[in-house]
Amino acid sequence: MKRTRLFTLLLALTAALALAQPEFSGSFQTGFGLRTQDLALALDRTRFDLGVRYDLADAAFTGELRFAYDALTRTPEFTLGEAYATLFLPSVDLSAGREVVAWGRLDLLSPLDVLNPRDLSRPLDQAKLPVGMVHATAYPDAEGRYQLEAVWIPLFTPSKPPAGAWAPPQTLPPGVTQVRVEEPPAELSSGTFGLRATASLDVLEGLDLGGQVVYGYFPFPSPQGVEPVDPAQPAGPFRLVLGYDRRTLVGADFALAFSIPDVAEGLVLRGEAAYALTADPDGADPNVQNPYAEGGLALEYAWSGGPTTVLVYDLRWAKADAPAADVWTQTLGLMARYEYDERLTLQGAWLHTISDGSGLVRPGLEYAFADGVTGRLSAAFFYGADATRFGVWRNNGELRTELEYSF
Amino acid sequence: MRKVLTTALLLSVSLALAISGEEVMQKVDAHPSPASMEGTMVMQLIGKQGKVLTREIRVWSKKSGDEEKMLIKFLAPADVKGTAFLTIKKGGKEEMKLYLPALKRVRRIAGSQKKGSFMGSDFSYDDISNLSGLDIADYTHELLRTENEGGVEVYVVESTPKPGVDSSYSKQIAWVPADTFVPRRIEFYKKGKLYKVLTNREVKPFADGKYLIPTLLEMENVTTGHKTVLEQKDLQIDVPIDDAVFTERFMKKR
Repeated sequence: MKRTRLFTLLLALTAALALAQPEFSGSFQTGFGLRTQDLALALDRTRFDLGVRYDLADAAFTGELRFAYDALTRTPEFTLGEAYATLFLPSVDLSAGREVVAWGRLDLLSPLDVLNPRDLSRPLDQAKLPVGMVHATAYPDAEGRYQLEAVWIPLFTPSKPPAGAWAPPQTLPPGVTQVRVEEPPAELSSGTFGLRATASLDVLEGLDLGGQVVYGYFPFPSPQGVEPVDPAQPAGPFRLVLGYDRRTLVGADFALAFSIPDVAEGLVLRGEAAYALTADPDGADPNVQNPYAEGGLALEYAWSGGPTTVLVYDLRWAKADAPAADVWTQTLGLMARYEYDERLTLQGAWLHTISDGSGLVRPGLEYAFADGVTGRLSAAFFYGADATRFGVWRNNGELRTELEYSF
Repeated sequence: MRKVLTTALLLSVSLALAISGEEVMQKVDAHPSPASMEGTMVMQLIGKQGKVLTREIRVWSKKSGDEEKMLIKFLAPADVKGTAFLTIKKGGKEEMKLYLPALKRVRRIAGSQKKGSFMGSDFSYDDISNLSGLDIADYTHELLRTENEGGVEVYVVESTPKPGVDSSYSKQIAWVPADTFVPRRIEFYKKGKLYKVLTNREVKPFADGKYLIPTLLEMENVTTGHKTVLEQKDLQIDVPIDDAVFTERFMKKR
């Protein structure tokens, strides 16, 4: 009887999926990179991504699988990417599963885009990591001018810090020989919650406004204290305990389209501002992360017959532990993209930290050999003193070539 | 009898010449245009050496009063599939939004981009949104001459943007046949120099001949020798299109 039920269920599921006509997509990518310092091989990898999507009348399923092979470390890796189901209700989209969500409006530095952890193991290839979540988007008006989003991420997933040649040098305090990382317990109270509201208004040539609050964790651990490695030997040796502190991030953003008559037509100004509240607002406890605030502006303009450029300015303030002075960081950025013709696209990005004089320059070009076949050449150069934001990677500059086939 | 015929011929010629550029363009504009359209466009981007890249898009457009909406979804090639472009024109204002699936973000884009290339083609975003017709009130129109093409009288009209109008081109010259008033060819000039030429290779009647719509267009960039052929397929005219199509929600839906 049970077998019959199971068979019927499988048959129904197969029929439903067959009727839904799955749509497959994916890409095959291979590439290698040379370190600029000594032209040593720094990257040699091949990647195959396969995506599938089932579209039903009022629902959809999206799934992604990745197989990657790192020839330098001879490591094959299978990973599940996004895998979620969405229900399209009359004025609400409700999805559940492993998903990536983008909040905020800025691309280069986005202080509001904090829901997904990031893989920073190779900072030049940083990507958001999909995590299990329930995600609802409500559209209260027919024109879709207003949106209300809610996200619940039940389990905490930390970001992956820079690894290998990219890992920053670490020094342990005297007497400390080990490190223990303590993740938040896997229980409902450890979840991340986010709410976001947006509106599109008829101001100048169009204005988008957004506001959000996210109750979650810092993506990287911070020191929480030291403890004896063996509780029976309180005099040491010791180990450093790292943990993830809670933060409540409140923020607002906008995008405004406007023109300056007789000077420039059709500009877009985007902005984001965030404030992170923590359990140590005054910086009194060295074992708890302090509040910070960050704001950014980006001005976009497409030059007639030329590139589209985005000029970025970012200002960050972080409360220091008393009695040290608070830390201010200013960053300037410029992105440019120029479609020379239907095949060749030139692009570049420059980031410069005004506060410490370090930066990153990243030129590149993309060439379409045929439909879906793209070749890329790019470079990354870091500059600045040893202990600065980008200078720490001064020896990790890279020349890279990649070939991708998408289907 | 001969005198009468000659007089009639002269009269008809003088009547034909009596038409002004403004009147020709008014007749072009007076063509009934569909309240809504949905269809697939296949674009072939042809390089100077004849190498071809293909793009495929799905287009929805709708007109209601002074409001015009258009949504374009990219179907091919695979690396841009899912990208969506929305324009809403109302009361002289134009909103442009772009959805990039890789970033999962709908972004308002700079109006200055509308003069840029549409998907690497020889059409600009502006050209695509003006396929349904030029806003003739923004231009002054002058009849340059009349020509005869295959026995059909063709009006050659120069349209120049009025002061203060933000146009991609310094002038346009259109070849308008007197039998259909659907332009056969349009030359686009930048700073007085010929820049691009649009040729309507095929015009088809829809809704029992109520509408005449170009279904095969070719845009050639005379400075680069590059051209784009745009073919409209499975075009549906005056079909009911829900306003929900022209929203961020629909842009994100694949």
